Amino acid sequence: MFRRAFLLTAAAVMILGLVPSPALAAEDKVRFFVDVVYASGQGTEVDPPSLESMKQAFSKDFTFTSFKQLSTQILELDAKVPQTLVLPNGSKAQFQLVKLEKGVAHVNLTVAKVTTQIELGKKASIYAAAGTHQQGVLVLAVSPIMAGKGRRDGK
Amino acid sequence: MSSSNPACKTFLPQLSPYVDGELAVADRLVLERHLSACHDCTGRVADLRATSGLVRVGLEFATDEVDFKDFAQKVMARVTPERPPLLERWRLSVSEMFTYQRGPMMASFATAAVLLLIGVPLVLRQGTPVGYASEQMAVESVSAEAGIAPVVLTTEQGDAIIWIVDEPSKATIAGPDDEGDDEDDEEDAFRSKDPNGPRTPREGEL
Repeated sequence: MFRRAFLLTAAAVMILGLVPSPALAAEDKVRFFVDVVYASGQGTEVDPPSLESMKQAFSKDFTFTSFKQLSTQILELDAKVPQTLVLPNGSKAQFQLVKLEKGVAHVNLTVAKVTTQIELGKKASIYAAAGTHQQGVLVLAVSPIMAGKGRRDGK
Repeated sequence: MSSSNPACKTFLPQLSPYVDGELAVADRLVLERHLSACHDCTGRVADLRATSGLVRVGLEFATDEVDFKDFAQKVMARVTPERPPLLERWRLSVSEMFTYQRGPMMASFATAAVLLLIGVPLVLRQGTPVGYASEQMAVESVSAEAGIAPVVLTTEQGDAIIWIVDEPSKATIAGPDDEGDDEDDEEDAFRSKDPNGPRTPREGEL
């Protein structure tokens, strides 16, 4: 009986080793926050307050005084399928996972005729200009999504 | 007590087992038939029963005088006079497990290994999502179509800003004293305030 139990366990090990679990199948997918923010010099509104860090980042080199989040979403990319966001000003932003090497994801962001290769990390954000909109500009904010943490908590 | 009946010699060895209730049913029936006809053997049986009763009563008196408190501990102390040290007992236990229960032990180890192989990566993955091995987000390279000059600015917090300047020469300092027509004013907010102008990023570097 014990011999049979051992053989069954060994068989289970081999089967589990050959058949990838759903968790392992999801390994090639990377996730991150993408916020579409409207920045302008009209007013001083910062909505939501979590955009204060963005305002701080722009304070040195830009004169924007108002930052409003138009949309926020978690983008999930795998190696094959690029994702395209249509922005409120009609332009498109395309995200593509270029490679996932040694646990580091490299993502291409193409917006407003500029292609930027981003290396995802646990902290900080990447802000990319996405063209004019109304009285200001649209900015794409790419931020890390950390397990069990909220927006920009990794900062 | 001599026996005049020759058949008694056959039944004599069975008398004591009969009194103790240890005879088989068939033997007991044969003996009882003999006892019903033999006064000598009946007397012997009566003597044996009386002796047995006396012995029982004597033993009861004897056991009443004995103190059975801590009897089990005393017996165990005599059986195992010295308790081996903890390490030695563990070694013996493990040795016995591997000797007599090798199958279940191996199965248990195999199961534990499988659980570790599957569980540990899952737990680790919960801590850090896929793709986030780097400590900080970074811009690796920037490229743009002709006529567009992308600019990469970094902040003290480690953030990076990718901005667009149609013509690099137009990047000017924006401010309240900035002069220009109304059309230009709308764009002032987007221009770099860096007096040296936004730098053009090189490939693979901020």
